[in-house]
Parts: sequence; C-alpha cells; structure tokens
Amino acid sequence: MTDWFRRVFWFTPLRKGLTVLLVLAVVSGLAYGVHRVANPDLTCAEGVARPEPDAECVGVSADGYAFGVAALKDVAAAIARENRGLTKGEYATVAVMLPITSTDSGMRTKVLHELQGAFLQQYAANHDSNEQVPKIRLVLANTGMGNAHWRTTVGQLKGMVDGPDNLRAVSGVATSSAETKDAVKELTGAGIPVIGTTITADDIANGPDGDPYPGLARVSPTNGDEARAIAQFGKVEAKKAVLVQDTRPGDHYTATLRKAFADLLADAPYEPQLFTSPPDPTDEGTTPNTFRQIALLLCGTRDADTVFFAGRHTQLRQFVNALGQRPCQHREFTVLTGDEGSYLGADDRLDKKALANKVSVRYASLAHPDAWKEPGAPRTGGSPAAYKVFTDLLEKAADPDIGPIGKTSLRDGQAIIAYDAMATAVRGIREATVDKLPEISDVVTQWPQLKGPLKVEGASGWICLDNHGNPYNKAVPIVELARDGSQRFVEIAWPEEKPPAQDCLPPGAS
Amino acid sequence: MDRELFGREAVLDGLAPRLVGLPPRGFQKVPYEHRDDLPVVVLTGGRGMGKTAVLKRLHTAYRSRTPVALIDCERDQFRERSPEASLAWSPVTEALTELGEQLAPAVHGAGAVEFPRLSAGLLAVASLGWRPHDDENILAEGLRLGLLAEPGSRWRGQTRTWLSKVVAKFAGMASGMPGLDVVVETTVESLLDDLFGRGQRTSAQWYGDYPGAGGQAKRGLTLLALHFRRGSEHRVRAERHLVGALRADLEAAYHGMGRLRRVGRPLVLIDNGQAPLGRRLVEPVLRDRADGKRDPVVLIAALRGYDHPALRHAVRRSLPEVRHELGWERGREVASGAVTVELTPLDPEHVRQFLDRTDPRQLTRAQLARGVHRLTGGRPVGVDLLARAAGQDEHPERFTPGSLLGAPVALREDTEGRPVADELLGRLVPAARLDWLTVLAPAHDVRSAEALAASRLPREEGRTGLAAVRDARTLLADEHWASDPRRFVGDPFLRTLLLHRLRYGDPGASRWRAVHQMLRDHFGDADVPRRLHHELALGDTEGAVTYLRETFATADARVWLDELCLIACAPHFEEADGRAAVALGRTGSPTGADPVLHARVRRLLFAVWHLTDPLALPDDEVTEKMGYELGLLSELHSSGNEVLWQASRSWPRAVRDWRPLGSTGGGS
Repeated sequence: MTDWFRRVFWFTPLRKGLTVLLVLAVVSGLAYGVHRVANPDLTCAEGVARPEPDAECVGVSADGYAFGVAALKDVAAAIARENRGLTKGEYATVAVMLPITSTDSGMRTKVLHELQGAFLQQYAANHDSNEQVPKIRLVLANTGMGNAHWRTTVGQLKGMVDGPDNLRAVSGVATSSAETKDAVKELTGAGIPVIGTTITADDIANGPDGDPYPGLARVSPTNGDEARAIAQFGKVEAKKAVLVQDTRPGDHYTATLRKAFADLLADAPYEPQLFTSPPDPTDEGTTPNTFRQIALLLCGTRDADTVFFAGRHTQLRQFVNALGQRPCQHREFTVLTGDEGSYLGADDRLDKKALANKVSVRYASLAHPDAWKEPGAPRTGGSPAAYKVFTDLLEKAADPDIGPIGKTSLRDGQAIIAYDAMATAVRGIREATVDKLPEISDVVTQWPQLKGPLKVEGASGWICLDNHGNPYNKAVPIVELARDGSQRFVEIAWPEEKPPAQDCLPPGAS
Repeated sequence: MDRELFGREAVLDGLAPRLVGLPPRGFQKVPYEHRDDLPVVVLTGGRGMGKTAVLKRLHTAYRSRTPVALIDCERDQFRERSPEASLAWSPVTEALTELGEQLAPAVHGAGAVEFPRLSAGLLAVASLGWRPHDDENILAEGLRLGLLAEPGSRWRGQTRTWLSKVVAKFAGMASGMPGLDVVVETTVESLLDDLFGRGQRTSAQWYGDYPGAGGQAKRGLTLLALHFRRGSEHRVRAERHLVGALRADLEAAYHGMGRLRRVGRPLVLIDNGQAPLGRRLVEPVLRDRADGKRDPVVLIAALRGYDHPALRHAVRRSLPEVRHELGWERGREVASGAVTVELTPLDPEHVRQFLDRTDPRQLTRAQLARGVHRLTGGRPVGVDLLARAAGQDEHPERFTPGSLLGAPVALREDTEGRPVADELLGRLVPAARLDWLTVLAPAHDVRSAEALAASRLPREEGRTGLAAVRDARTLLADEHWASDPRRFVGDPFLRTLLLHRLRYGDPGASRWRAVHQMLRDHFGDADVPRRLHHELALGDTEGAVTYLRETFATADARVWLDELCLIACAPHFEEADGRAAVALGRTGSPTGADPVLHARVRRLLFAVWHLTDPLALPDDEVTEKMGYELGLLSELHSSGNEVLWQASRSWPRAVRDWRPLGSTGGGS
C-alpha cells in the first residue's frame, strides 16, 4: 500500500508537487463542501432568504420572485416588469407586507387578490396620473406563514428607507393578529407609514385615546365602525337579538365585535351566549357541542330571530351548521357578523342546507363588486365612476404588455381594498412631495390631510381619513351568503347611519 | 523467480542502495552516502564467487526504476576486430553504443534518457568508415547511432532523411575517394546543421572543450574522429572523451526538469572488468572524476581475481565491511577513486538457506549443508548448483556431497540435467584446458605434475608435457586460484571436481587408475607416504596399514600423525563406502605380525580417511572410535604419549566442528 502510494504519488519531486496540488484541491473542495453543508445557502432570491434550513423564504423581493407560490407568478412578474421600467432615484417604494407563503387556501387567495389590486394601482399611478412624481415601485414583503417571521421582514424594510430603495410606505397589512400588531408597532415606531388593507381590529388603530401607531392609516372601517354599521343595519331587530360571543382572550377581531355588539344590545332581553374557541381558532375543537346547545336555547326563546355572532369563521361555520340542525326548523334566523363571514362562502364544510332552512348569514363586507353600481347607488360616500376606473384597469391588465396578473375575482373584495390602500399610499406620498422624492417623515403627516377635497375616491367608496388615520364613515357593504357560497350584496350600511356629506369631513375636523 | 543472493546482501541491500539512492525494491528513497563525488565500485573475487550473479541481480532489481545497463566485457561482440574494421570501430565504441541503448528507455516517473553528445561523437567516429556508395551500411549504422540522440518514430524518420542526404553528398563528391577528414567534416557539419535541433546543438557544444577545438563543436568532433583513427595514445584520448560524452549526457538528464522527474542515480554494471575493455571503460571515468569532472553515474564493475595493477591505490574493502558504510574518500592517486570490494565465501548458514529453499520438504540429511560447505569452501556457484541438484532429486535424503557431485542438475526446465560436477567445471575452467588439468589434478607438486604430463598428456604441435604444466600453472595463477605447496591444484574444491572428472571421465576409470599408478610408481620408495596415498586411491590399503604399523613404534608421533593424514587424504570415489565399517572393526581380519596393533592402525586409518573425506558425511560413531583408537595408541607409544593423547581429544572435536585435523591437536 505504502509502496503503491509512493510509486504513484510520491516517487519523483514532480509527482510530489502534483500530489500536493491534488491534495490541496481535494482538501479545499472538501472544505468548501463542508462549509456549504455547515452553512447552507439560505438565499432564495435577492433580498429573500430562509431564516433557517428548510424554512419558508422570507424577505422583500422587487424583481419578480413569487416566494415559490405558483399562483403568484404572473402578478409578481407583472410587478417586476413595472419596477424594471423605473429609473433609480425617481421612484418611491411601497411594500406590500403579507404572509405570502401561507399554506391556507383562503389566505392564498387573499394574498393573490391583494397583490393584484396593489399592482393595478401601481400601474395606474405610474401611467394614468399625468406623469406625477415620484413613480411608484412595488415590492413584495413576506412575513411567512402566520406572520411568524415578521421581525426579519420588518427589519429588512426598515433598512430600505434610505436609497436606493426609498421605501416610503408599507401597505397590505391584512390580518388582525398579535404578530400583525407587533409588526405595525415596529414599523410605525421606525417612522414608516403603514396603510392597512383589511385590518379591522380596533386595537390596531389609532383613536382619540391616543396614537399608539403614529403613521398608520387604514382603508377598512374599524371593527367598531363595522359593528356599528351592522348594528345600524340590524337596528330594528335589536329587541329580538341574541349575542353569541367568543371568550378566548387575545383576539382583537372578536373582542372588538363583541364590544360593539354588546354596546348595541345593552338592553336586550336575552343574555349573551358564550363559547371559547381553541387557541388556534382554525382548529375544530369542541365548540360544535356548545353551538348545539346554543341552537337549542335559541329555539327556546320566544321571539329571537337575530343572532349577533362575535367570532372567527371556523366557529361561525360550526354555529351555522348547528343552527341548520335546530329543532325549531320553522323559525327564521338571521346571523349578523363581521367580515369573517366572507370566508364562509369558500368553506366546503359549511352545511349548505342550513342556508335553505330559513337561516341567513349577513355580514359586513369590506368591499363588494355590486356595491357601487348604477342605479341606486348613494350619491355620496363613493361613486360608480371611481369603481369603473378600477374595473377598466382590471380589463386592461389582460394586455400582455401589462399583465397577465393571474386569475382574478372581485367577489371577496380584497383586490378592491388593496387597490384603495395603494391609492391612499400613492396619494400620501405624492401630496408630501416637494421635489423629486418626499421625506418619509412628511408622508407620515399626510394621512390626516386626506379628507375633504383631498379625499381618496376609492373603488370601495370614499376614504376620508380622520386625524387618527381611520376612515371616516366608510361605506360598509352588507352582504348575504348565498346558497352557492357567493356573496349577495344586500345594501350599503354606514357607521354613521347615513352617507357622508359631499365634503366628507369628520365631525370636529372642519 | 529471482535468484536469491544469500550472503550478498551487503551489496544488494547496503552498498548499492546507498549509491543509487533507491532500495532494491519499492519506491522509497535511501540517503546517499556520497553526495557529489562517487567511487567506482569494483567487486573482486575468483571464478564462481557470484560476481555476475550480483550484477544480474542489481540489474533486475533496479530495472524500470532507474536507468540501468549491464555489459559483459568478455562477450564476443566486444572482441577486437581486424585492423581494417578497427579503423572506425573499437570495443569501446561498441560498448558505449550498447550502454546508451540500455540506459535510454523510460523508467517509472521519468522519460527516456537522450544521448545527443554520445550520438554525435559516435557518428563522427563511425563516419571514418563510411565510403561513397556504401549506402546500406551508412544507413544501418547511422540510424542506430542517431537514435541514441532521441527516441521515437518521428526522429527515426528525420534521421533517415538526413542520412540519405549525407549519402547523396558523398555521391556528389568529386570522383575518386574523398579524404577521410573531408568525410568526417562533411558528416559532422551536416549532422549539427541539418539533423540536430537547437537543444541538441547546445548539447553538442560540449565538444568545444575537446583539446584543440577552440570552443567549436564541429572542430572538436572532427578532431576526435581523426584522433580515433590515428590510434594508440590518440585513440585512448578520443575514447576517454566518448566515455565522457555518455556521462555528460546522463549528467544533463539529471539536471533541470530531470531533477524533478528523476530519483536516484543511473547504474552502469560492467561484468568481467578484467578484460581490456573493462579498463578502457573504467579508467576514463576514474581520470575524469579525479580531475573534478563529476557525474551521477553509479559504476559497479566486476573483476575476476583480487588485484589489478591499475587498482594498486584503490581503497580495499571486504564484503561484510560495506554492509553499513563504504567509508571511501578520494586520495591523491587516480585509482583512489575506486573501491574494491572482495566477495567473501559463503557461511555455512548461507548454505543452509540455499538448501532450505531448494529442498522445501527438508528431506536432505541434516549434515549435508555443512558437508556441502566443507566441499565447496563456500564458493557460491558450487553451493548454488549442489543445492539445486539436491532439490531436483526425488530422494534427496540419499545424498552425500560425493554422490551429489554426480547428480544431474537442470538449469532450465526445458533442458536435460547435466551432472553437477561437469556443469561446475564448465563454469570454472576454460574448456581448452580442462583435460590437461584433469590429468594433472592428482599431482602433488610441479615435479610430479611434470612427470604426469610427460607420460599422460599427448604431445600436440610440438608442445611438450612441460609446456602443458606451465600453461596449467599460468592458468591457475591468472584465474586467481588459491595455491598450496602440497598440491598442484591448490583449491580443494576445484581439485575435488577435477578428480571427480578423472574418476568418472571414462567408463572403466582406466585413466584414473593409470594416473594414480603412474604417480605411485613416480614416488616409489623415495616418498613412501605419497606412494601409499595413491595406493589408497587405487583401493589398495594393506600397504599403508602395514607401513603405519611398522613406523608407529619408531617414528616421532607428530611425524607419524602427519603421515597418517597425508595417506588418509587420498580420494575415495567407490560407490559403496565401506570405510566406516572397517573403522568400527566390523570387517577385516587380523593378519601378519602384531595383529592387535595392525587392526588398531587399520581402524584408525579408515576412520581418518572417512572423516576427512570432503565427499563423505562424518559419522558420530566413527568420530568416537577415532578418538578411542588414538587414546589406546597413545598408551602404547613410548615417546609420543602426550601428542597422541592430545590428538585423541582434539581430532574428534575438529571433526565435529568441521575443521581440518591438525596433527598436533588444537585445530589448524
């Protein structure tokens, strides 16, 4: 063995030299291999990396990376194409922060629609706005499933404020959860303007009691406003109403609904019915048993026909199913709830027969394609014209120069809301612009100005922000869940009972 | 199977690896004992001492790892040729060509060695013999020498083209014979300009240093060829330069890139260096190295004999000394660049190893190894062939050294076996002198040899028997056989072999009888013990016994014992060895006067005859008996009690120790 080794590798000085080179090459190769195994390449794309091996890709992407989600490929590519057409230094960046890699199918659809809406607004801002500056660059910010990796992404966003990215706003904040709240807190704490799309929870909002999120604007009504709008819609029924509420702590959405409904039903004859959802509200848990009892109780009441449901959609589905099995099949029940009702249509486990058995589910939607259609649309608080601009854009997006942007659907209203949120961001950025690019601190102070003549005429209705960045008297389309799972528009409800005046100024603001 | 070299490891595992830098097998490195200046190693020893075997073994061991060449200076192709042929040829040029061809092939890790200098020099010399219209000869010779400069088919083609150009030039020369200087000059000029590339021209520039060349390679090469033609001193100088060219080419191969690719040193082995060619090859190396022209060549030559006039100042070593260190340093004399290493006889242990290998079944008698050692005196060729013969026999247990001499030995599997003794004599004695020596072998001294020659050797072409004895003595001296004042053929092994041939050379052993009868008659009453010695050889024992019995009482005990030994060392070749039986008193009947003493003397004589016979294996019982008889005789002797008693104790001991008997006891 030694002799063979010497003969082949170590006999002449020349062989020794070559052997040394060979060994060095092999060793460095091995070292590199070991290094790669020990320090795996976690990058997914530019600006995007896995926080740990085998984790999802998290971060901010501007060049068409779809975070491995096939459905997003088209829209991500369209955004990237739009971004590529911009000149460095002449654009402001808006990030759409979403749990893009979520595996939940509802969330996936929501993400797709939000990105589509945001892109349409970006396109409109860059091409159909009389060459206003700055141009808008859109980036995708993934916080991971359940927003678990929000810290990484938020940290990255904070670093993008200075050139060359010139991040000026973050949009897309789409769920009401503790992580979202922390993320918004962190972003606004760093002086970055945030425009929430579908956050409705009252405690991710500023208010008269204080501005915990300086620079946060919302285009959706708060849960409180929603609840008030629902309550206004169901006002006549208050005497015959029962409140069914989730007691699990820590859920802002349910807590807000609970509070609004409770205020409305302060002197209702029936005491609230309670249930407690599992820690993860998408778990089935044991709540169906509770709901069966509540259904029995409801049958036991004399004339109750309206249920205000303060809970998440899994529990809502269980409750509707339980109600479908109620003993008093002859009695009609209307379930009123918040925007979680919108998920019900896509839920396979919903007992569709319940809807036939005189049970109707009505809820506050954030936006609905039928809300602003002639005739019969209110004259203020929104306009069919503004809505038509949106739908025209949507049609244009089929053009291969702009799109494609993937399969579109307006039924859930997410695209409309995202479009409006983006419009708010663009309006804020451009209003703050003096020279080429606005200071980010100027953008933050713009939100309270967006009212009256500067209001955003959104596709979902007028967005007149109050001094705390919340939309004042935003149109709330009330929809009813049809038996085929679609949402049937019922009517527009207003948190302030009736549409805003033409000037759209919050009271006390003028 | 490699021939094992028992007892020669000092060269194979010690000396050669330290010089070459590589072990006999494997690819490790061995530290050099000498860095820049190398000694020429001359292995000395008589015939059959294993010189050739050592060289062949070195050749086999280092082949394929380092360039190695082995030439035998006594080969026919190196014999001097007719004066006409010698004009452009000498044994040295032939040997250098052969050495170059053997050293050239690629070895492990390194490419072929190229000899542009040697090639140029040899071509210049060869061109002396080139004549116009001798195309075929020029092409053949030129191609062989040209290929030394570079191997490969491309070069072969170029050389061929060049040679046809040279032939054309010769043909184009003015009618009649061009002068030799013109031929040489034309060849050299064309060689350097047309055939050689830039690198080779640079190498050939080496000839610019030739005396009188004035730095011009062409001039140097031409001068060298012309000097070669002039002969005597001039040719010696030219040849010295040609040898230098070989060394310079090797030196160049071990420089530059060669340093990276080559490990160890090239090895040149010269067998039969006592031939004139050997000196002509080795002397230039010694002279150049003494002048400070160093080279990496390890030169190991074999020299028959133990001395050479040219090596008077050489450093002398014997084989066991060089196992771990040569301890050589250059002195002032040219010859001090050489080290003679005398190959010593094998030890009994080595003989045992030979037999162990040839007789793996371990059937031979336990004493045979010592017996063979006593017979051969440790001469490797004898040990080797005897051991092989023992191994090739179906029943090796029957062998005594004597019967082994007659056993057949086959040196190759496809040849018929020859008796070992014949094979050995073929190797040790030139065939032309064998018959003479066979007849003269029993002689004790020159005079008895002359007597033998006069009566037994035929007169040939006017040569008398005396001339034959002189020839034989010259031969024995020239071949460095040991001399012994009591024997005409001094070396006991050679003598035994010759006697064996005398005995078995003819079917009826008539020559054997005639020779011994002649010697018996030659000594007559003038030298009774020697006469009795021959009587004993003829199988007539009673005279000896009677003589010894009669002289026992009167003679000095020492003289009596010496005479006993002289008589008892008679050769004994009878098929049936009855000596032990007689010695033990199992046969024979008392006769004549004083039958008791007579029987004792006879038993003692037979015991000594048997125990000192190198062809027989000593018998323990007979050894005991010899001591016993000597002890008894010591009591009967009037004045020699002490001497005989000592002998009764020391002789058995000497036999057991395989020593010769000493008449005075205590060993010889």
